[in-house]
Amino acid sequence: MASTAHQPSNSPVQSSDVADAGAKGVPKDNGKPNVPREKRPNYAQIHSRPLPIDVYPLPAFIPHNPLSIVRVAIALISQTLWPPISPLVIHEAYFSSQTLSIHVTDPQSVRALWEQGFWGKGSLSRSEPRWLDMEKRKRGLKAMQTSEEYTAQRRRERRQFKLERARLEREAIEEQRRAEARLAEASSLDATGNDAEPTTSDGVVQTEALISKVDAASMSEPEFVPADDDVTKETEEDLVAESSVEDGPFEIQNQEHLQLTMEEAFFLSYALGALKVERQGIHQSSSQLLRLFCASSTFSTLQSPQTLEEVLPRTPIFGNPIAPDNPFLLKYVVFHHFRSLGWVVRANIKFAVDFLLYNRGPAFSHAEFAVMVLPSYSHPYWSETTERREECKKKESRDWWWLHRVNRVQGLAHKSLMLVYVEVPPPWDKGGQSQDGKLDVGDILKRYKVREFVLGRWTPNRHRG
Amino acid sequence: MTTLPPGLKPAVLPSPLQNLIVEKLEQSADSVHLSDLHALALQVEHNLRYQHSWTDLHIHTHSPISNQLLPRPLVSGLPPQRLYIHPDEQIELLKNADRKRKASKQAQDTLDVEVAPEPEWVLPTRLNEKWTLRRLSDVFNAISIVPPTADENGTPNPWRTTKRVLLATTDSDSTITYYIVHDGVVKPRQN
Amino acid sequence: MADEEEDIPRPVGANQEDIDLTDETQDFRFLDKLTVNASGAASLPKRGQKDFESHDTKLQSDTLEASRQAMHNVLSWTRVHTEKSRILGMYHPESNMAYVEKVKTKHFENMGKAKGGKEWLLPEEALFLIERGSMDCRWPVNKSNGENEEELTIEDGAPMSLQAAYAAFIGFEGGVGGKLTLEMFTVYSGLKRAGYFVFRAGCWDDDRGTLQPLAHHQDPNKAGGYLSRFFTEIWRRISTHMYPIPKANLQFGPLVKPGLYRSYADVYRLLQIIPTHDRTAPPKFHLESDPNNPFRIHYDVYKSGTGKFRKAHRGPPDFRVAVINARETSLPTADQLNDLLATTPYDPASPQDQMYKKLKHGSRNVILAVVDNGIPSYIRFSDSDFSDIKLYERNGRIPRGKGGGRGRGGGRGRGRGRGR
Repeated sequence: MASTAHQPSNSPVQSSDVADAGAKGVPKDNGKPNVPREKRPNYAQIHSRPLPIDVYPLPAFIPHNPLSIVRVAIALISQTLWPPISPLVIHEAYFSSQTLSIHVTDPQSVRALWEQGFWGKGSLSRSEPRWLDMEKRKRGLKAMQTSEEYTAQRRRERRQFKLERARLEREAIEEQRRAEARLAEASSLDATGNDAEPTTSDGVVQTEALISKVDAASMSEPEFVPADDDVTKETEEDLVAESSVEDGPFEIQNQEHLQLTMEEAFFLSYALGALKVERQGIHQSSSQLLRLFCASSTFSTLQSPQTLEEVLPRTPIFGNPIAPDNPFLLKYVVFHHFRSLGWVVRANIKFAVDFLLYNRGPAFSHAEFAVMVLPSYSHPYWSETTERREECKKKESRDWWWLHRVNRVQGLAHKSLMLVYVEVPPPWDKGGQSQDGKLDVGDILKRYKVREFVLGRWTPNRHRG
Repeated sequence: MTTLPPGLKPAVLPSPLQNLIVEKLEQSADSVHLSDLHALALQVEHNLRYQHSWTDLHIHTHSPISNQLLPRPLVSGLPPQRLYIHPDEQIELLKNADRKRKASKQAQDTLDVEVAPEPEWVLPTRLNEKWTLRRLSDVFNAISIVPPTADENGTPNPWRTTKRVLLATTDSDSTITYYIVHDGVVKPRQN
Repeated sequence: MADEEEDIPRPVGANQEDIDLTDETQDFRFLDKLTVNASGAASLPKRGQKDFESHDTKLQSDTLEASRQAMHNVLSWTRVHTEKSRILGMYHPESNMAYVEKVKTKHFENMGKAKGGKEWLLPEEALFLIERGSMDCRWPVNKSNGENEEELTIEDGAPMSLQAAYAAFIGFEGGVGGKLTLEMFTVYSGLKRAGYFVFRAGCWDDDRGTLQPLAHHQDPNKAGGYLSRFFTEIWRRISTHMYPIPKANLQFGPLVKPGLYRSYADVYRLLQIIPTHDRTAPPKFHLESDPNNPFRIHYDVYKSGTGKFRKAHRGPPDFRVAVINARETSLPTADQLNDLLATTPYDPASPQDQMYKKLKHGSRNVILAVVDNGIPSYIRFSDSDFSDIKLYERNGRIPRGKGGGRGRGGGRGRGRGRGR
């Protein structure tokens, strides 16, 4: 009874129109008959919610259509009597000090968090948590080709191609050597050199034939489109057969969990209230989470012989004061800024940057921007003493080789590099002296300021006009 | 229904990896290295086993050649496919494969280059660590060319003359990036 | 486990322009086509891949030799100058410039300044012409006192060698042509050779440029008049649901308190609490003026294709270039970038542009020419305000024919220019 009120018929996700559209495949099929064998997943439907929060828009109000008036009235009444509370589901997770991250293990939460905003990463997958599906397929239990397998197939093809090319090149070299040996022999035997002509041309022609074969092979190298994530448009063609397979007789324990970075977990918890993080069984408040994450981000095995758990004080509220340029804070401010504008922000070590920005998510398109976060110490506080000035100079200076290294990867993978400078405020944490150690998170975040610069490589040849 | 407020799930179950790490550390399987480094090795081993289907995985705390304590625990195991082929070895393999293809009666399109996988050393690291040549050389000095495996009868590979490790770097988003690092200069492969 | 580097693809022909040819090693054999003498007997094979090791084949060593020979041929090519195009100039030590009495060739269409009957060249312009071989520059004639005052022409001066020219024109701090460094010259000649017209920016002699205020743009879409804008604003405020964040939520979270929300846009609006740099405010300098400040606009660069270029009435430049020595200066701090960009004009992308284009264009931009031991690489920095683009309003939901139900009526009062 209560559940119907929570799901009004006009909820954007559940309407029957959408379900039909999903069954028919991607809407832009040009009305071609549905190919029953393979069908790409309808990402638009799966990821229709950009955040793990439900919204209840009123149905369209069309003045001359009495039915729409009725619909609006029903929606308004039902929502007043049984107000839906959003978020409907609060996911649960725990902090793992051994991996400096937050783990989500409930299968439905894992699915929901990935689908509603691309949060986290499957700990045994390239991005989307698919390990269990892969395992089931390996054991013949499910007939679904995941994109990992598609990638493996592409790699096999590429490897074959390279092997063939290598073989042709070797042959060309061998042939050339033989031809030259023949030539040397012929010229040493034959005084007049008449016979040398045909063999030379013969040898050269043969080698040239082989060389042109090699060239042709390199020319026709299959175009491998960049994929910064498994789930790209190109893979969609081969994915997802009609899966009506039952699960096998025995249970496979899911070895994978969804791993959230500290920035993601903090946003889900503090900003959206859609996640509860516990540590050693105790639910962490936003204030506690902030202290926990700040401490973790400065922890390094090399500097301290203890584990993180030993370093963190028992009651994290009264820990060491947080430095205003704490690495977690700086990254978080940037993460929050872009997420709040609607970008999907993900960490990506493979591209050597702090974050990648996606328009709707990795399932829809490649990331257009790669973000590097840099601290900026412009506040007068930081230049008050020479010591501070020196310190800041060391912390904020980067050389051009650093920039070129980062920029190079972007050029190859067609992303624009962004430098985001974060204004570091003077130290705001007075230690555990406040009454209960609780931090005013909103106030802290508002002390920082973000400034974006987009970089591009400029070449004189291109812009000559 | 349940006694919990609507929408909340029951208490959080730790993941198998988390359980594994906690359990192993409690057993203090390795009491000599920092437990943090041991946890790191366990994480890498778990990843190799389940994401990349490695077998015969071991965590080493002492050097196989000197029996001294290793600078940090290392992992060794057998990948499902060969990770590295020396260019000269590749030439040999290509010749064999081509010969076989020509000899076989059926018309085949693909070059069947068969090469058995070899056991590898794996060095677990974290993204925020700074590694110097000295640290790397300490690791190389402590290992043998081929990690000790169960299968001692395997014929040694004549082309495997340089030590190598697989450098595994973990990031907090759970991505582990693997790089092959050779101890010294090795002739590059053209293909 | 496959090779990691396979994940990073190579640009497959699609974006040829992006490939900077100066980065790749050239195949010098194509230079042979430039020489007058026909190349040798055997035709050279087509360019193949880079070889990693010696093959022990004569073909390989022949190819290498042919490349060396081709380069040698080109370098030994004799340059010829005609009298018609020979420029004769005289060095003027006091101002570190050179002057020319008889102007020839097209070069002077885009360099030099006429004064007092002569054409005066800035040090970089002079050095550029000398290096090309277009100009024959002479040392000034030493008028020994007491001798007959015959007219001594430029030609009587001793010719300047290239080394002397470099030594003289570069690095002279005082004088009109002061502060020219080798890096600046490298950039100058590189851009000129690429076909651009390069001039010193107006602030060359100052420590830094002047603040460029915001221009007040007349948006053609807004030409409706005050009244219609007023009503649009009211409608927008009515139809947009504003949920202010309660104080406790701001302090301890969650920002989006549990409740009923009608659209994702409403939710996103609540989340925007991180302050950003205000680019609609007039620009200000963050640092004190400093003669050692390396971040200044040095050159105004113009594209050459238009064919209507007048050096005296140039108009605004197409690009502004600041030259940096990579070995002495590190990446600019936010303050330095701010100050540098504040001296460039406010130049946003047009509102009709696509979103990514707008973001990459930014509201102000500058090109940094980073010279590392003689090799320049150019990076364009643009000040982009991502807060301008509310992605959540653009994406919304996929239109399903029923118009998404955004509250009452048309729901159009969300501001103009919402087209994708």
